[in-house]
This record gives sequence, C-alpha cells and structure tokens, in this order.
Amino acid sequence: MDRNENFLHKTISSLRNAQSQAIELAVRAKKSGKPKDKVKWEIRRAYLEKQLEYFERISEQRYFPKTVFISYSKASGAGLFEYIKRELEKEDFEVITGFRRQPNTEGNVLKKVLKNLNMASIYLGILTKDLQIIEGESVKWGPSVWTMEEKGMALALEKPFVLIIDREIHSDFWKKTTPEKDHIIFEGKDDFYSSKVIEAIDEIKLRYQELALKYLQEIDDEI
Amino acid sequence: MSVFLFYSESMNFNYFQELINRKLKLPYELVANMGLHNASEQHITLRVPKKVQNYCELIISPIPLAKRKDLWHFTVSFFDRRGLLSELNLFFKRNNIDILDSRASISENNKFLNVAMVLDTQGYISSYGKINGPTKSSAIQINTLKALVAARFIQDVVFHYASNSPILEIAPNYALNRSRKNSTQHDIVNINKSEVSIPSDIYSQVKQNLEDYRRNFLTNNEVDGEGGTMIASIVSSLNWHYLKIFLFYADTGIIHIRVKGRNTVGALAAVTKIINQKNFNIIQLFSRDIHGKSIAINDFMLDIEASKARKLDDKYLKNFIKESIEHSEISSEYNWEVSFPRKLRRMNLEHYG
Repeated sequence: MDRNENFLHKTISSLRNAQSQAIELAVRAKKSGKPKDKVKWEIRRAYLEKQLEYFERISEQRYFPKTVFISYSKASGAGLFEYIKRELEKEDFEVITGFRRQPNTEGNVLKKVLKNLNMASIYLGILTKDLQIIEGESVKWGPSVWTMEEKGMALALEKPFVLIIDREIHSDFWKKTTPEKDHIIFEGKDDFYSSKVIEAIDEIKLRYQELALKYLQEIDDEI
Repeated sequence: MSVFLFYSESMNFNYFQELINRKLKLPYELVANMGLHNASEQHITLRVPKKVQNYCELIISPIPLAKRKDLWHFTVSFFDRRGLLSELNLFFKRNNIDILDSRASISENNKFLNVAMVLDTQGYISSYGKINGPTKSSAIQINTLKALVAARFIQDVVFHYASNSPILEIAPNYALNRSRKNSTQHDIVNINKSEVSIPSDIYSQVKQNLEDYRRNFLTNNEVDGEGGTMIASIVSSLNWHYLKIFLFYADTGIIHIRVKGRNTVGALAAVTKIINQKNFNIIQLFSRDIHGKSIAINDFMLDIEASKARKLDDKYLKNFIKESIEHSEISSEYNWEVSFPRKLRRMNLEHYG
C-alpha cells in the first residue's frame, strides 16, 4: 500500500467507524421511542455513506498522474527544456518527453511517443526556431517537425495543454489549431528565463487544478 | 459535495490617508481585531504587478511566509459540550496540523459552539507524502481532512436542516498563499502604537510602479487636483487574516464614491449597470442596508483606464459619474444621491461609518 492509499484508507476507516456509531444510535433511538433522534442519526448515517462512496470511488480509480509531457526541439530548445523541467520538478510534477523510452513499447516511433503522451495529464509545447523558411525576400521560422507531430497528438487526445512560443515563430504553426489565449509568447532567452517560465508553470498548475476539479465533479455527479 | 468554499473578503474601505514618509496609521479597531499587537512583528508583502498599473497592493499579516504554503480557513458549528474545543485541538495535533489562529464563541444560550481557525496543513500533507493532486494540498487531501473531522465529531457537529450536511467548511486562504509567489517582495515590520512604516525597498518599488503609470498618462492628460499625492486605502479581511493596503496616486483614474438610495430588489444591479456602461471597473464594493428605512449605502472604489476616459483627474471623474448616476432615467425610481466621502488629512484617521 503506497502513502496515498494509506491516506485514503485512514479516511475510509474513520468514516466506517462513524457510520457504525450513527447506525447504533439510530437503532437505540428507535427502541427508546425517540423518532426525532432517530431522524437525526439517520441523516448523519446518510451523509457518511455519501462520503464513503466518494472516497471509495477515488481509491478504486487511483489518481490522475501529476505528469507533464514536454515537447521540444533537441537542436534549439534543449536548454529551455532543462530549465523548465527543473522548475516543474520543484512543483512536484514529473516530466516526460517523446525521447524517453518506456519498457515494453513496440512499433514505430510515433506509437512510442503516443504511449508516453497518454501517460501524462498535461501537454507543454516549447516552440523554438528550428526551421528557416525563405519565401522570396521574407524569412519565416518554424518549430521542429516532431514538436508539431506531438502537438497534434495532444490535441487529438484532448490533453489540457500550454504552449510557450518564440515570438519569431510564424503564427500559422499554432494559431489556427489552438486558441491564442492559451499561449505564452517569449522574446529571446532572457525573457524566457526571467518571467515566462513562471507564467508557464502557473498555467500548468491551473490546467491541472481544472482537471482535478472536473474529475471530482464527475465523481460528485455520478454519486 | 463542495470542494472549496466561496472566497470573499470582508471589505471595509472607509479608511483613507495620505502616505507621508512611508508611515501609515492603522485604524485601532482593525489592529485589535486582527491581533496586530503593539510592538509585534508583522509580515508585509508586495506582489509586483505583471504590468504597470495605477495601484499597488500591500498585505500585512501576522502569519509568516513559511507558514503560508498550505493555509486554510476552517469553520465548524458544534452542539456545545464540556471539553469539545480541547478535543478538536487534540485532533488537529494528532494530524500534524498547526493552528495559527483560533476563535470560538457560544450562541443561542450555550446551545452551539462556533469555531473559526486558520490552519497550516503542511504537516498533515507531508505525513502522507506527496499526493498526485493539483497542488500540495490538493482538493482530495483537504476533503479527507473535512471527512475526518465529520467522522470524529459525528455526534457533535451541527447539520444544516436543508442540505442535510454538516456546518463544516475548509477554504483555501488564496491571498496569503499567493503572497509567497516569486514576484513578491517581503519584509518584516513592527507595529508601533498602530503605526507602521513601509520598508524602503517595498516603498521604492511601489513608487516606481505608480510613477511609471502616472508619467504615462500625464503626457496625454491635463490634470487638476492633488497631483503626486500617494493615498492609502486600508481594507480589512478578518476571516482571511490580513490587512490590505491599497496604494494609488490621486488623479490617476481611481475614485471613491458613495451612492445612497432606496433599497429594493435590483437597486444594486441598476447602479452597477450604470457604472459598467460608463467604463468604470469596480475594484471594491461595500454595500449595506440602513435597518428599518429601506435605504442602502453603497461605497464603490472605481477605476477607469486612461484610454477610456476623456480626462483622468478626480474632480472630472467624480462629476462625470455623479451626473451619470443622478441624471440617469431610473434615478428617480431609486432616489440616488452620489457623494464623495473621502477627506484626506495628513496622518489623521478619518472614519466615515
């Protein structure tokens, strides 16, 4: 039994004890002809039962992982990735990437990435200048192809996500598929390290909070 | 099952004063209520705003930064019996929970015992290790705490007759939790005869922010009035255990108005609609009813962006909003009277109750 299960186990066991108490007191009230008291203990028993159902459901389904999948380019974004990874780990997030090989993953690279992505609760894309596109006299920048593939997968899997984008990346690479308000734009590495990382981590925490509340709401609704 | 209680602040922003030599005089009643004892150390924090704006907020609280990581406001109603409070304290001790502030009172001829506490749950959380929740004190963990209290005191806790659930809530103290963030400046100050001196580092940061804003619009706006006077509005948040010092310059788009009028259903909605239509943002509201007279007094602290007003000085904005409310089509229905109760005096406390 891990520590989280222990946590729930203690709560469930206390609730069961309290529920037995409430049942006993309701029976006693009935026997001694005190209907008002009987109702009082019945209400408490019913409340405890709901609580029990709630925690048993959580205990059975386990938690959603506090894991972030980070998509980045090894060529142009490795430094930024390492920094944000460290900051996320300080906030108790586990970081995984498409580069990490999981045991027992078979098939092509995309399948392996998909498996890693599926394990994460949140997707974070770092879009750095990887490809230079020259059109006549104008120069545009695009992110790495892999980052785009992973972003597509995250969208398809409906993962809550955050993008952190170099201002010079052409908006065609992100604006059309994802709402603009979700993104953090940075101008150069100094801007990234000084303030945008904090903003990105705040956004990730918020996405995770939303996910948690949605999950709890779903349990509430079912109960 | 509710996860978080509605978060509100008990706002009372009737205390305005000019900030001279970084010194502030805190109203005695707030000092007493907050437990800010004379010569005691208080923790003052400034959250540096992400963008330059026309006001800054300082938070003064006796709760040290290190204790603000997992800070919760706990309330419960019990059927009173001897030894109950002691058992509750023991329960928290056994669960590694630190009680930072505790208030209890009996009501209805000793029938009920109402308890409000500020809890630091860092120890509770860490005794079970990291949980895969949204924050260190996740919604799930706090729900377990709530369930444990209900289970332990099932014979004592009062149940609400309509919802059939216990009168027992645990709500996060957002303001103090957030005051730990990276963008925060922090210092320790002493309260001396209700007087506090803002540390120079924090004061310089506030001044720089406010002056950047002021310089920005001074170039485009003609300003009459008090000019560069820094004003402090002191707001109490007793439940959440802090004083908020709201600092701004005169003539930078922030005004305080009082609207007095007939109190009927929809009166507040009607006046706030006019305020909204005139592009003002309500940053603080204190609304109360005069018992037996069907009259309400509503105090608003309003803010308008430089781009949305023709002029930004206090005199112009006050006249503008007064005209807009008193001469609106529905004004006669509510008998609205608009006044401006703020009168600044140097280091003198003004209380308009």
